[in-house]
Amino acid sequence: MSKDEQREKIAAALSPLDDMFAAMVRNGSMVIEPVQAPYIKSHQLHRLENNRVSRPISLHLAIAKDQAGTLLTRSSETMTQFSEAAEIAISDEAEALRWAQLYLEIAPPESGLFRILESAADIGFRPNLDDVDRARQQQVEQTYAPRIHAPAVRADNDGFLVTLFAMVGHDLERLDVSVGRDGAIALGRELLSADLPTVYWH
Amino acid sequence: MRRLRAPLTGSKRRLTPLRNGWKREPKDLQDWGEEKWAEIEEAAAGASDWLEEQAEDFGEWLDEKTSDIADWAQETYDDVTETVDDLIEGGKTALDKLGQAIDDMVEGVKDAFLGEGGPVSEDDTKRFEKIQAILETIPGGQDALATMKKYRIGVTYKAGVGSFYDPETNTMVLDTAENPETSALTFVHEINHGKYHNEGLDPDATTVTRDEYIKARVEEEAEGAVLSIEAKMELEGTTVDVSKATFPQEQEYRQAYNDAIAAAKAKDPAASKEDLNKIGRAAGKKRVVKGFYDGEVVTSTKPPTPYPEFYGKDWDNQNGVVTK
Repeated sequence: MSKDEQREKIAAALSPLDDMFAAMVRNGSMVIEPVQAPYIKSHQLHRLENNRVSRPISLHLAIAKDQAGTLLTRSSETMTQFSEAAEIAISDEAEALRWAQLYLEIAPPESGLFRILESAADIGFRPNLDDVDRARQQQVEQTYAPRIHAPAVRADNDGFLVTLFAMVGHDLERLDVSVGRDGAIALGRELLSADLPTVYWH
Repeated sequence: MRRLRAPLTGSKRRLTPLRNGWKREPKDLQDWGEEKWAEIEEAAAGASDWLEEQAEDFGEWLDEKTSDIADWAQETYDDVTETVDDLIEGGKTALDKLGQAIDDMVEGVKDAFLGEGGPVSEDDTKRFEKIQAILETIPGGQDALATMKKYRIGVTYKAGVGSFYDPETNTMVLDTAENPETSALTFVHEINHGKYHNEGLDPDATTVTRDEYIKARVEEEAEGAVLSIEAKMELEGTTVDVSKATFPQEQEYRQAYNDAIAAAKAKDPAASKEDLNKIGRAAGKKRVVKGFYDGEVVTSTKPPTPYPEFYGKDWDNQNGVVTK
């Protein structure tokens, strides 16, 4: 399938869902990137990004074998419905980890900035902080540097448990993500430090 | 006009002929000659007077005719001028009517193909009513609404993709997740992008340098941010509760705004409120621009990217520059 055919296929799947996004795909302003998710058996997933609008937009489109599309935005409700309806088979820890991260990337727990951290250095404090905020930065980094690590996964009962640290807006959180073998996701959140002077998201 | 008279016609001054031929004495002949000479002189004097009189009459006649011609020429000129003026005035009226008809036609075509701006569906209209009511209470909101109408910017709602302005369709998308107060302030921000696009103020990456492109885009983004913050400050003086609406760099703007005003007051206690506001606004915007350049604000892309870097990559892409 050529790139133009691929683009038209995606536009056709989007058309019944959103005319504007379909037009963006057809006119080339939407960049299309296939998402490798072999554990989703019923759908092919595509990441769509448009940087030509005033504020970059990112969304995902799942295309079923019958070419029907499902638009996945930052709405948790839509994502939950999709994961329940789609045929998903998580076979090991690596797939559980990738699926948990993809799930949260598509539909983060809150609107606003969501970033999964590899270490405390990723918290992303703002430059130009005043003395009070700079002291807070140092305190948070000292406290959490030993604790924050890259996302980790282990088998848990019949499924898996993914543990990760993330910035949810300006809050530092620890997320425990239960991943079922059928792709079901259950989220446990622990607020570690609220309203940090981290970068703004727009 | 006097008629010309024939010279000497009817004159009594005729030469008297020699009655007795040449047989008269020389003395008589001399007398006769002198008499005739006197008659000739008298006749010549009469002719001279007549000629002088005729010349005078002719001069008067010529003056009279010249004056008549001048009067006629002036009158004719006035008539022609008036006629031309009438023609011009008539032409102007006709052109005005034609221009109005063309304007009406263009507006009609725009209405048909571009829409009238504002909400694009009944659902959008219902959602937008609350936002419009908020915006109408403040000058910044009224300006934003006027810009929407002027440039026929459409407004629609979508869930979960954030709020943005799409120059391709001249449409603003507002996120349904935002409450009306936040959405009103977002509207003020995004409408500024629509204004920049419709007024041709957004830079063309293929005709400006990379640095010029980044600077222009950052300025545009900062201007939108400032307008939202200022709209919020205006709403704080009303019954609209905007305490839950926060915008990037709002605190930094307020700090710079207040510091600049305090400094200006200390320097000139008699400074007017308007002047102080201008000083505060300039300082606030400068601070916001600095924040964008320093990476205080990141994009909603994956990964989140500081705006100058994001715009730089955008320039690279549009100019075929390959970056790692």
